[in-house]
Amino acid sequence: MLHTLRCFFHLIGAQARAQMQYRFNFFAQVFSMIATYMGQFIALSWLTDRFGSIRGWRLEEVILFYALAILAWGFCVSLFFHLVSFEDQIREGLFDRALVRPLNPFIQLLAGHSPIAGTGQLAFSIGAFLWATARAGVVWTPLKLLYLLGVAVGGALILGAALVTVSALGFFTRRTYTFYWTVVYPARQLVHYPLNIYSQVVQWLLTVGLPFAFINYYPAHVLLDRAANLPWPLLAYLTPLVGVVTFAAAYGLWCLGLRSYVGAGS
Amino acid sequence: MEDAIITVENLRKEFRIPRRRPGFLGTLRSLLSPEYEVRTAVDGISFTIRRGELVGYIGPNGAGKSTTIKILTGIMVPTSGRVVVDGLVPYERRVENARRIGVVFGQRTQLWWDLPTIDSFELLRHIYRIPAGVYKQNLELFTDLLGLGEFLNTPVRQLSLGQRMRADLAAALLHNPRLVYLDEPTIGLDVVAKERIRRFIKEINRERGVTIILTTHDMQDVEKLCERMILIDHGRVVYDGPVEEVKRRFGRHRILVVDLEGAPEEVSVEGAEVIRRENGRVWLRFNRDEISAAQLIHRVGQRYNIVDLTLEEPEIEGIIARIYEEGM
Ligand SMILES: Nc1ncnc2c1ncn2[C@@H]1O[C@H](COP(=O)(O)OP(=O)(O)O)[C@@H](O)[C@H]1O
Ligand SMILES: [Mg+2]
Repeated sequence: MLHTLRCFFHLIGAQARAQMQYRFNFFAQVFSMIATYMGQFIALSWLTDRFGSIRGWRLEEVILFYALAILAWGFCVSLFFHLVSFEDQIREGLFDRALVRPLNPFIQLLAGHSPIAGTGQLAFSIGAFLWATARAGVVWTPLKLLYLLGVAVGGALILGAALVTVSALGFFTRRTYTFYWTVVYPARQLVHYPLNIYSQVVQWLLTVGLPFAFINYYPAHVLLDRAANLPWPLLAYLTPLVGVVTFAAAYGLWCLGLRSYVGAGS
Repeated sequence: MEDAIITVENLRKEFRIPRRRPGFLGTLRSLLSPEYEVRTAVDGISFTIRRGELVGYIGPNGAGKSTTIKILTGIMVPTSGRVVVDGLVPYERRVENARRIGVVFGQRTQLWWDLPTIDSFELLRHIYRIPAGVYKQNLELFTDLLGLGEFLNTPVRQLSLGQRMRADLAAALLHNPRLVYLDEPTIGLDVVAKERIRRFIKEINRERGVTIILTTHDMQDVEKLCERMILIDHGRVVYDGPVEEVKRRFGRHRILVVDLEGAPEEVSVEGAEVIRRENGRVWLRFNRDEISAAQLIHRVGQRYNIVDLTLEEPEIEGIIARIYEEGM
């Protein structure tokens, strides 16, 4: 276990060093990330300014939903986002080598990408979150901070589980990008807005299907001291549990997929 | 067999190649109701390898060599059959198996592409938990034998194919594996580079008693390195036995390719058999023991005007064709 962890950091370090050789690439990534968020943010404020509020949520509160989703994403990106490109590794037979080394192949997959861009995302996420909570007038207590930690980690696990599932499907279908861009990405976009603007079906889907509502919508109620407004206030406290359960299930699926791995067709 | 390190019984591997449908809905449909085309890559192969052997596993492209290696190394799960490597079923005890083996895939490097070569070795040292003393000793030895010194600090992506292959070989042996799989370690290399790699392989096998399975479609590799060869074609074993035997039976034949002026209608030369013709180009098969190449060229020259000529070593395809023709 300790050995695995140590190797994990050696591998991550190697990827970071490798990426430093392509500095321009890194700046390009950070730039495009910031541009994307600016765009989303402007759209959001325009909407709320125009309507004053969305379904009973003030602009500041809507921004908090958004920031909380971004926060979980920030924790998730470094470790899991590159799983979206797993189909390339399968197609090119690159994953073979993970299987002939005495180290858990899943760990090798996670450690197979530079964390630098992801760290930039995390810094941005935390900054945006602090700013949003200040604006929304969140009153911090030690208990709330602890709760926030659970929510951030749980949310990152929920998103991570989705990405692990995407890569697991790659074993079966040899495709991963498709699943990310047509299912996971749109669902992520949906939860940037308060869930109650959507129909019941969508709300259900984002709670029990792809449970992204646990990333920000339910927990935000607690941070804003409005948990009592939820139909089941308990929902606001399930994020870490949902994270662990979905992640374990996704990992199970991944291991199952591994058995059908056949590599590249030479 | 008592000292068997690898036992393979009735190994089969079928690839079910999904028929892809375009678009997202297509992918979803493929997932729910998949349609497959089945391709049998390994079709009932059995063999045993003893400790310390250096065996040539050879066959033409697409014969199923790499597929076999991928099952033996634990990368793939077979469709059916039994595989035991050093007491383990590799694809069920992947990590344990990985500790004991070394693997080189000539077509794809195992090294970290963007980092200096030495960094890959360092990473492997951690992954395999190689004791400092062993690591140092091996690195020195391999640097010496393979001439790695000149490029240890060069990023792998900048290495020539020959350098990369040498680095890959060293990487596969750093942790003192008992068993090494080399899948086409000489592919695409020039004669000098091939020779250097062959010498190293031989040395490792002799001095360290490492069992080596060498996959190749270069008959020369096998002749120079192996005592035993397993010849496969279309996923089946065509021959398993001494290399000498094959050489004695079929390796005496060589082929002289000549371009003749004016493309004569009838070509026949004493001591050689015309096996193919294309306009003025003629393929002549002859037996080294009966006539030397020089003699044959002389004879051809007496009757026709030679524009150009090349001498071909027997190819695996040719040997297989003759085994089918004549039996073994
Ligand atoms: N991952 C794969 N998916 C589909 N077909 C494959 C795959 N790997 C190999 N094959 C097919 O199996 C056959 C044997 O391939 P391979 O074992 O790579 O041959 P060799 O190494 O002897 O050249 C070939 O027809 C090849 O196209
Ligand atoms: Mg091959």
